[in-house]
Amino acid sequence: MAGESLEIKNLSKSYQTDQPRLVLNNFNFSCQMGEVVSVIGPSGCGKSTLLKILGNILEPDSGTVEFGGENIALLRKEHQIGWIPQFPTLLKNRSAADNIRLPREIIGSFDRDVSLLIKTVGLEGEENKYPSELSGGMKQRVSFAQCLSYAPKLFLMDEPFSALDEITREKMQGELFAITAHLKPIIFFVTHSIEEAVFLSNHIILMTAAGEIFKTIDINYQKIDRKDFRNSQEFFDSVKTVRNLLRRL
Amino acid sequence: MIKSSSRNKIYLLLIFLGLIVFWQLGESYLSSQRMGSGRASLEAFIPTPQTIVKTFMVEGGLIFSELSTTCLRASAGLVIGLLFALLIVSLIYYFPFVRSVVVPISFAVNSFPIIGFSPIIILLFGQGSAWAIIFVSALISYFPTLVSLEAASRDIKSQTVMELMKVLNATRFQIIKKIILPNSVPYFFVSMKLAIPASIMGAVIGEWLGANNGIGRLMILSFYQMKPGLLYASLLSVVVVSCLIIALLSLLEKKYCFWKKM
Repeated sequence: MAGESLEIKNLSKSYQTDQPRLVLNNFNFSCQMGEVVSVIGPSGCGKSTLLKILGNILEPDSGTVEFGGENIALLRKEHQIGWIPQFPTLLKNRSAADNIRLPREIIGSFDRDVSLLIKTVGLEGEENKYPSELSGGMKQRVSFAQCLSYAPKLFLMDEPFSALDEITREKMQGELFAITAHLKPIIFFVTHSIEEAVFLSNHIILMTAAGEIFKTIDINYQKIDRKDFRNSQEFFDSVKTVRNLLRRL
Repeated sequence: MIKSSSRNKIYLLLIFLGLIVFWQLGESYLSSQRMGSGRASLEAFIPTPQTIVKTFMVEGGLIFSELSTTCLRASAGLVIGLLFALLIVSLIYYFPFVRSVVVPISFAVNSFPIIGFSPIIILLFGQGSAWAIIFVSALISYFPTLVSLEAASRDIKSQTVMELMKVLNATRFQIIKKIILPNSVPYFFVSMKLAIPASIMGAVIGEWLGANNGIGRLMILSFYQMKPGLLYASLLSVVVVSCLIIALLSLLEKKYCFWKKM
């Protein structure tokens, strides 16, 4: 697993509406296993499109995405891509626990015990509820647990914690850290929260409205004690730097 | 305490019974007035509820037998309409361009008055042919089924769970089994609630146009033989069957789509 990297080269994508609209323009980036990458930018700058191309859901107009030297399609075929959309649509006819089981059923895993996952995402006591009985935050946690259930190498998350309250959000961010430390996947996530991006990421990609990379910020210092890091001067300085850069967009 | 839904049902029943009593008493009074002035009783045109019940008791066997024939034809028409709608929806699902061709044609066919089609259909299948009746029934039940199932297919396709399926590299069979079929069940019940009464109506219309038996033919015969009691009893039997089927479908829907209203 070590040494495997994600390479994004010259990625461009446009949508055909009345006039072709370029949403990603010559996007280049690479990262290693165990790294967390967040993408920030104005609405409509191609963040979700980027995730869909990385997940091999959409095809780019030009450019390539490779993982460990192979096309990203191979990673998808090996069930090594996790997907958490912004508004998860769970299957209405399945309980929360059964929704969490769904990826394993698709992959063909024999391990259908999801009690540990339910505990991890804090859904104990809610596992037998149906989606119509769950709040937006609970649905996001189910979606997160679905992704964790098959431990992929690449996590793609589109504003995964946007519907969560502050305390649950912190708890889930902590879980994401634990996953990074344990499984060492590449986590690519889109967020509008500068604090979240700084707190979680090794790299922050700032995108312009034209779908280009404006700047990539590397967060190099060690975040050993998470609680302390949130209150550290380094954290506040990084947040300030990102905020100032975003204002220049 | 009586639940509000139960209370509403009691009110509905009371209103229904009240209307029947009003019909019976009102018609008896008006008929006696008409006969006093030397005119024919209203019973010659509009039977009283009492006459309809009496007709049921006397002609029940005949009505049941003719109704069974009609229901059999309606079932055949429903199955054909349903299978054809399923085929079209499957084509639309996998080849979206089919939608722009088939849906406008279906709307056009549906807007055509079926009575206007009748001479062509009878010419096509032959006078008195059961297939003509089944065809009319299938034609009428096809449209509501197509509309509901097509809406289901669009709804399912737009769900982000399909993105998850793609990321998980799910097979077409897995997508159909895990996503499409379970999600289609509520739409299926909606389409059946529309299509079953439509298929019965289609069969009755088909029988009006030319049949050797069936409840539609019985209605036409009782009309020409000036037997309003039998005409109303036949009509009522069709309504009762449709209502019973809808009630049964509602029960099944509650059982199998319990998660929908949670």
